[in-house]
Amino acid sequence: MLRLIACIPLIAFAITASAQNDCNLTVSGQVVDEHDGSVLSYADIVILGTNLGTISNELGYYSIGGLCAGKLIIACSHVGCEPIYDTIEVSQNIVHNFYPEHHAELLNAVRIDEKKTPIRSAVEMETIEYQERQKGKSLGESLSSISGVNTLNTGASISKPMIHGLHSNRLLVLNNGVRQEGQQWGNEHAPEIDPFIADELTVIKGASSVRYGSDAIAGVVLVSPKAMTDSFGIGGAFDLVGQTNGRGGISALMFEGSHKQIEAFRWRVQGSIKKLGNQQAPDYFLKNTGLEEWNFSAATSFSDQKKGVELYYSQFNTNLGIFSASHIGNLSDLYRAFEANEPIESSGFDYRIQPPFQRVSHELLKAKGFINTGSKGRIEITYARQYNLREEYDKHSMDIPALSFEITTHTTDLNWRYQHSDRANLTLGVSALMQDNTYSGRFFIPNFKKWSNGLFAIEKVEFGEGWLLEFGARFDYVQQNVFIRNDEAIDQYRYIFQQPSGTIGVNRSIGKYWVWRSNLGIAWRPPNVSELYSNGLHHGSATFEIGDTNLLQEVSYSWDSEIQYVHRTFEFQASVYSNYMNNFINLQPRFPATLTIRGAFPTFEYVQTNALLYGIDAKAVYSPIQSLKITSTTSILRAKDLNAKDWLAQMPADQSKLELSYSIPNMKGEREVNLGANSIWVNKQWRVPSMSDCIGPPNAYMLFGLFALAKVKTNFGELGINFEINNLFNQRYRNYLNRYRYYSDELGRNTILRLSLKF
Amino acid sequence: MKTTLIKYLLIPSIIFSVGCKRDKGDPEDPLDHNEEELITTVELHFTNSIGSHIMATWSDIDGPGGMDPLIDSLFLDTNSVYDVSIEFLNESGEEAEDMTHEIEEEDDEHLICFDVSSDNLTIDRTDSDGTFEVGLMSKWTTSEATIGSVTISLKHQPDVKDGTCVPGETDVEVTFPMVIE
Repeated sequence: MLRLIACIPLIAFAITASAQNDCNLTVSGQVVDEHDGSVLSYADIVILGTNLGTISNELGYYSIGGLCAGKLIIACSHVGCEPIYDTIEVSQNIVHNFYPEHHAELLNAVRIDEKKTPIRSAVEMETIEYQERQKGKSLGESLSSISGVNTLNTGASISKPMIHGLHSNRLLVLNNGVRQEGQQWGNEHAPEIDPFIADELTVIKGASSVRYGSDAIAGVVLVSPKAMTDSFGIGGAFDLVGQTNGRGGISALMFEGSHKQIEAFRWRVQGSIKKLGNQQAPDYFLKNTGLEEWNFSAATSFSDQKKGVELYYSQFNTNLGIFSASHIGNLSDLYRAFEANEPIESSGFDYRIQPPFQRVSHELLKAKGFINTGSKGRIEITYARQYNLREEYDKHSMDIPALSFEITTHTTDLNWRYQHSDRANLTLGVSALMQDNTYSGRFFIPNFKKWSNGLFAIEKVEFGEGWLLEFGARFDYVQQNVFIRNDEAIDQYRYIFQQPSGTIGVNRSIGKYWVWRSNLGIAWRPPNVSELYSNGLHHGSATFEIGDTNLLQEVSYSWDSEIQYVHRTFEFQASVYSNYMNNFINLQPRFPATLTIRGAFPTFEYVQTNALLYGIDAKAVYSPIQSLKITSTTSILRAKDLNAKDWLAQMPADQSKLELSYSIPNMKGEREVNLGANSIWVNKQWRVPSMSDCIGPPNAYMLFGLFALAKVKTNFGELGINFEINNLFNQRYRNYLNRYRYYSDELGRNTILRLSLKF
Repeated sequence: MKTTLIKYLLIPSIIFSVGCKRDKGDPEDPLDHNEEELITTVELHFTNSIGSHIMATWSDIDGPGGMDPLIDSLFLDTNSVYDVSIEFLNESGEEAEDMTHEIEEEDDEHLICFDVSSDNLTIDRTDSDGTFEVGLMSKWTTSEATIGSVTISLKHQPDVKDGTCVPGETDVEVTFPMVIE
């Protein structure tokens, strides 16, 4: 602990600043790790003897203006590094870079992979901290603050992340370094992850199949827990979140420690519980939309400088009500529900969860070890077992689930990273997955076993002035055996898919302020069992879905390019992307409708087509004065079915966000107060395929929100208070990406209060 | 060092062995899927004033999808009155299962609704759950000759039955072609 304290805050003492005449000079530069060349964000840079200072940005750049000519002492400190004090002579605007050295012990502490990944990369990624303003939000919701990321919702309780219009089997979620293997194929199956385990959420946009395996067509979401504590003793955090909509909240507790007697050993336990009652649209309650969640995790690590092991266990459990009005019998019910001014089955407030509801639990056990091979290499091996149980209860069935799925997955990953020269490193890896899936109750997807093996190599080279080249190749073999009972006999079907994938990307720093990167990639995924075999009614949308057992793998050819500019008061980034998908698996309407005893249902079948998705994400941050920050993001996507010459369904509409945030300056750093307002505008998605939907897309909408947060250092620790109002004007609207848009408005005003105490 | 390592790995291993859940099923031995309360067949039993009996059936034995349903047409006489009883069957198994009893037992949660395309046929429910009509029994009154259709739906309305066809979930909705001659 002492080491850290000594390292971070710098005691200002006056030394210099002689010539006072010219005080508009600027010093700027980059903070780069001396060893691995990765850029260091959030380094503190101060001019001693003044109150001038700043923090390096995501790319490690910093800039301090308002300097007077003369001799200055400039100091840079970063967590885990000895502070650097440099004396510089300023007579004009100058560039000064820092190369801090990480403390040896810290450098070798067990770090969770994705935590502080080598930030400099050819792929586009954006990280948000799961803190203050995110707490209590689901994973999907937290991520949607990143441009180009949306959520696909089923009511207010279920939200799935979506990158550039793609989701589920085209988007990979890595929970603590392990591929999340649940029932991803369903639109109404949200990732089974407790967001409170996360410290950082990173979105990698664009194909990342080489590093992470098939499914990472749209990108990857990395959920990274906090690195294990470095300070001796026991610490922790307590969080309390309350919200008016649903009249409930969350409480979360975490303890962690490390002890002087056994320096190499660190531990953490953590848990959270959540309870919400019926949630509320502006004009009515949504019957049976309560939810409860209880999660816990435990982690230990035992490591020295050269080797280490880590063991992690987590459990996620939820019980969530399915909005009564969405459980419909047939198409007439759907039209009736849509035409009704408010849901036909309305209710008051209630905490009880009644049928229909879902009960989901997910368990992860992970063991990881690493060993340094010489001074330049490192081998890591990770084994994980996941068990996922999903039970869906109908209105009719009270005691036994109408259908349930159980899925058990074993994954093993072996990676070797080798720094073969000062500016180049190579990563080699193999991964293996074994999965069993069973169901009981109503038929939806059959039992299957899956094996998947992959082999990859990635090389990263820096050369010339500011160039970085990254290229990789991978080969995957996937086998799925499907078992279907046919009276007394059991039919077995075997599917084998194999495919190489590859990527090549470049990152170029141009001058001090510009970074350009571009990436080309080939990614793929095998069709999943639901696309091959589903054959039945989808109750939520009153559609009949038919799989196709002859589907082939889907292959994506993507290109993206991003330009970033970061200067003192202005920051800008824009990326363009395009993704051509060969054999894109798409649900398409089929005629005639299926006539059943419940009436006629619009019928959709899984068909392969060629698709083209392209778009722009842009973000600008402007600080006209130091304490004011204006952030604006825009995302635009076009998604076309090239064979049908029509649009693709379920794609996000064009949208823009604007946020103003004002921080009340406080030099002593004892308090931090931040106030702000935000708005989001979402256009009507009129680019929808003809004949695909019995009810057209909803209108455009604009929403407003307010927030305030304060951090105070107290005797007990750091106390954070955070207040937020969403949908400030209690506006009625419907969202095209919410499956419940047929039945009800989106949630009305929600006031959230969050308290957190770090001790 | 080694022993401490073992000691500290012991705790999570205990958690694992106690906490870890296992799949009860065997993927290579799939269960028979059971469709609860599957209704495959609707039977209409007509009795006219002189006691003669006719029957019409709407059936989809293999359930949704697969083969097309078999649908009888209703041939009714002009200016006649019929007593009609409706039966719901599950014929997907080896033996037909009568689902009508379950509806009778939960008659306060069910309602049968009739939608006729012509004014020349009126249908009145003649049974009751004590508060509201049910519709398993009804009286059909015809007037002039016409061609049209009758849609019969079974609504499941637990806790929300109010005598109208609006609330609840539709369990059955079948349309019979109708000829009054």
